Amino acid sequence: MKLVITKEWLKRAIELEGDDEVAAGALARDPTHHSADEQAAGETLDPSRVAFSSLVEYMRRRHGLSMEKLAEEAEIDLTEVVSIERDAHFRPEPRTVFQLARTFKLPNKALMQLSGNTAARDPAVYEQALRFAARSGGSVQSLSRDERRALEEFVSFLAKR
Amino acid sequence: MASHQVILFDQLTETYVPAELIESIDEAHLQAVDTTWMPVLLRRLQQLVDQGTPRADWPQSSHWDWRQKTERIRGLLAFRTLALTCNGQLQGLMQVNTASVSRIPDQTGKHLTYIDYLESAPWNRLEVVTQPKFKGVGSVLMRAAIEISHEEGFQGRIGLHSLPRSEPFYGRCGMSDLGIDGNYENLRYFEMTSAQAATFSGKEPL
Repeated sequence: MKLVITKEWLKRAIELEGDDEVAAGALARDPTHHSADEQAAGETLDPSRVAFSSLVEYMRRRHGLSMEKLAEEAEIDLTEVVSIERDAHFRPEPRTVFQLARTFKLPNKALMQLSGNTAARDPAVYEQALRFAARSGGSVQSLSRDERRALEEFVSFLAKR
Repeated sequence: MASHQVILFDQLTETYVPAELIESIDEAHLQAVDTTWMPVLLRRLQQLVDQGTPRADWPQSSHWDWRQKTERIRGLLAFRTLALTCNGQLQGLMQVNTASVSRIPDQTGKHLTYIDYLESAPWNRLEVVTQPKFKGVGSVLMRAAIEISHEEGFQGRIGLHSLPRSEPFYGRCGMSDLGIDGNYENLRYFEMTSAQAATFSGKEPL
């Protein structure tokens, strides 16, 4: 990376900055104290869906695929890949789930449940998803070593179903 | 580990001071968040609670707790990240990814560098302290993101989701405001085209 910051440039740039905040990305938000009230007011996401979203992103990264490449290999729409990974409220089409299960060699039935496409629930899958979602924090943008381990355990659990 | 000499503006002494932009955040930087950033934020939040300040007037905050934030920050080790230091202290952090595409109608499908996360140390922020220390953290990190974009062959194109009180800054940087993104915590999405990036970088007059 070439980066030359001159005094003249910075002088103009800090005029633009003014006294405003510069933070970007949800991670930049400051944490507040945790309380039961705040938790109730927070998002009520289905942990299965969070688990599905994290699982897809993780498997994609593990296979070394870009979002575009995954869309191409699984023969699904790029916008669907983006929506699945970025929006845990998004419910993908059954065909998309089937294609992803095939691409990642994961059991279709378990993925259909995770993605919210089947009402019938295997309680063991739900329980593992809950545990996995709790441990993954709902975002694989930032995978800690523990989260990585949680994902791996979850994948091997799914593979056995 | 590559590092680049840059400068920041010290508001207390009103001088330009040398700073260092380090390619990739390491364990020591993450510890600095825990041991130097968090205590400053915590003091501020305690003040706000004591004063009974309404939540809406607090710094740009979310409902997750401290431990979660620290855990999430730790995950940055896996990505293309930058740490900005000055006076031996951590002044800013950034994480970018290069797997995004433009959302501007006539640029659809063009690749860009997406800023996943950009943050300045709490003592540089007027929301947190009465006399912020350094200015320029946001600008220098933006320039770095633009350079990464050039390096990837994306001609300076970048995108980001701004926190609400950072929107004026990104607007003044000359980025295109593409509105609130309902798929990303209702944050406003901004993009910089390659022409806007050239202007911001001073390659063309501001």
